[in-house]
This record gives sequence, C-alpha cells and structure tokens, in this order.
Amino acid sequence: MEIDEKRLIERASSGDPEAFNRLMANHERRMYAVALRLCANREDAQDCLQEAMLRVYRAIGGFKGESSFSTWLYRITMNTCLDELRRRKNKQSASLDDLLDEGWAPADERGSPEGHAVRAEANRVLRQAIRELPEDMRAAVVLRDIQGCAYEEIAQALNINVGTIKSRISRGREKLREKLKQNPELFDTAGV
Amino acid sequence: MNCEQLRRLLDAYMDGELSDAQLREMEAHAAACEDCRREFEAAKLVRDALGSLPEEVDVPLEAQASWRRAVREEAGRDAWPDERTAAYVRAKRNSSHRWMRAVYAVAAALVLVLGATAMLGRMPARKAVEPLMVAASEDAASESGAAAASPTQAVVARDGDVEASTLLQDESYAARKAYGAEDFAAACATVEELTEEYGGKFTTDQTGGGWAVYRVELPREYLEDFLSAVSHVGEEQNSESADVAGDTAVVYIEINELKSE
Ligand SMILES: [Zn+2]
Repeated sequence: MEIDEKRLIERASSGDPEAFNRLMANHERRMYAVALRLCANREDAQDCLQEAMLRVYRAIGGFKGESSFSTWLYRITMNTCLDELRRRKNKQSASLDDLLDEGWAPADERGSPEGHAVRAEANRVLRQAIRELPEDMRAAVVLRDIQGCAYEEIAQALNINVGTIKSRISRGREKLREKLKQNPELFDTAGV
Repeated sequence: MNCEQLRRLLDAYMDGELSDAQLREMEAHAAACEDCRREFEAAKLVRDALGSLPEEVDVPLEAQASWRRAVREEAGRDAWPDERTAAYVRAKRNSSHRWMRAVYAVAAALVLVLGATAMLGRMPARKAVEPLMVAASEDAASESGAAAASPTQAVVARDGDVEASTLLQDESYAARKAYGAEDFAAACATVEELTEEYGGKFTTDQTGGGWAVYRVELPREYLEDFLSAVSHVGEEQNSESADVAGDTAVVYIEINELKSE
C-alpha cells in the first residue's frame, strides 16, 4: 500500500486528476468524518470536504513527507473547516433538530441494552457539547478522542506545540464532563 | 489517593495510559467520594461514547461526485499553459514542426470553407463539419447551428453540459499524452482524423475554452503508429504509458490551447 500510495502521490503531484481521485478514494471517508464533527451540519461538511480536496489537489506538489500523508490531510481538512466556521460565525447556524445523525452513530453496540440507552443519550449530549466548544478546542478533541490521533500528530495537524495541545484537550474534556454532569439521568444506571 | 490526585489522572485515564494499580486506586477513592465518583463516571462516558464513533464515515454519492467534478475542473484550468510552457514554445517555435503548422493552416482553411458553405447554403452545420467530426461531438454540433458562423467553433464542439466525469473513467490506459497547440481547433481535428485513420473510435470532453480531452480506443497493433502520428499535433506537455493487455488499447489525448502573443 505504501509504495502504491507513494506512486499515486507522485502522479497526482504532476497534475494527473485521475491518480489524485484514486489516491483520495482511500482518504475521503476519514476527511468527511472529521468535517461532519467539526461543522454545524451535513451541507457544510460536504462543502468543506470539497474545498479541502481542492486545496489538497493544489498543494500536493508541495507535500514533501515531513509528516505522514494522513496527518497532512488532517491538517488541510482542519484548516478548511476552521476557516469555514470562522467565516460563518455571524450567521445563524442550524438548530440541533435540523442535524442528522450522520457521523454520530456508534460504530459498535457492545454491552448491555441499558448501556446502549445511556451511551446513546450521552452521545446526544456530547454532540451538542462538542459543538459548543471553542473551535480550536473542538478540533483538538475531535482528533484525539474520536479519530484517535496521537498528541504529536494533532500538534502537527494543527501546527501547535504538543504541550498546548495537551492542555487544550484536557480543558475540552473537562467542559464535556461538566455538560454530562448536568444530566443526572446519565448516572443513575451507570453504577460503579 | 486524594481528590486532587484523581482529577490529575483523568486525562491519562482517557488516553488509556493508566496502570492497573492506578486504576484500582482511582476506583477505591471514587467509591468513597461522591464528587470524584461523578467526575470519574463522566470521564468514562466521554471516553466510551466518543471512542465508539467511527473514524471513517461513508461519503454520500452526490458529495463524492461533487468533489471529483471540482477537481477535474480545476485540473482543466491547470492545463492552461503557464509562463514556463509559453517560453518553451516561443523558443522552439521557429525550429520545429514548420511543415505541420502548414498542415494545420490548410486544415483550418478547409474548415473555414466548409463552415462558410454551411452558412451561405443554409446547410445544417452538422453536415458541413461531418468530415472532421464523429461520435460524441455530433450532437453538440447539431444543437448549436449558430456555431457555423464561427467555423473553428463548429469543430471544437463545446457542450457545457458534458461532464468530464463521463469520459475520464478510472480505467487502465495504454497511454496518456498532453499537447499544447497554438491552433487548438486544428489540433483537435487532427486527433479526430488520425483516430479514424487508425481504425479507432473516440469520445471527447471539452468543458472549458482551449481544453479538450479525447478518449481513443483503437486496435493494439496500431497503437505505436497512432501515438507517433499524434505526437505532431503540438508540443508535448505530459506523457505517460503503461503495459495494458488486450486487443484494443485506450489512450487519452489532451489538447491545450497555447496563446500566441
Ligand atoms: Zn474525591
């Protein structure tokens, strides 16, 4: 895969759109997942995905492998989404009811049915809480706790020191916990 | 363990970096301290809920098509000659393919005559340009009767509704070539004629002014000769080839108009 990807990157760098499309077919689902979790709604996420793809296409000739390709893609996707969020800051954002569940449904359903119900409710609360986080904090938390990126990778993707990233994620998690604690029903069945 | 120590370990817990001993200590403290129990449970909920979300989400088909289309449009714009290409062409202009440019001039004149005939004789534009056009470009020409007023436009069938995505499939091709040509229309016509000459068929997309791509399918035995003939349409900007098995070969030829100063 590595060699194949390297070759596709080279061909895409020389402006071959077909090589580019093939290359990005392996990455679009992850980029979309990130966009869905950063943006206010699905349309914005799709707009951001497209804009991010164009930015990647324009910049791929300059990709020199200082970071992994996927980290580099995260970086461009994040920047695109953050730009978009800043641009729309003063606009009315979609209400939560308008939002689709796309991207926010658990990938697995292990454990007891009671556990599912609690997790689904926690999920709903967290989704809203994540949207209320300041954008930079949201980006870091999404990369760490949803996408499972390492701190070092997040630091590269967001172009911020690892120490700052750790503190930002820590504060973000604290805010999320505060939101959850405002919903006592989440804790009644959770037990210890 | 005290409250402060527990709070400090919450991030390590979220990151899955705690030892069993540390976990046991946290749980022991949480069992005895109501505030810390809540905090610890909340951390567990965050970790479980966010950790269970997928790292990848299927992209809806329309969104997939949309970004691919955008990239192809972008690629079409990129295909316009940049300063470097223009300088290269200027340097070579007087030394190469002089005779070929004469052929273009004749071809262009021929098109002009045919186009004018179509105008004067009120013949359908489609009839007039038929010798130079086959396959996909026919429809576009017949739809745009006015195109005959500008003969070169008739040859360069421009159909804004044709999407590049219908042509540029993700398939293996024997070769992919890009040429820059000053006389865009003549270069396109030459590709079309040569395709016919070598027993092939073509489809074409011309989504932007001065840019065309041809998908040519022809018998493998003529591939080399065809490519060598086509190489005279203009200055080579890009070239790629691959070994692809089969009796027919697929070749993509891209033509970019070079602006003359
Ligand atoms: Zn305590």
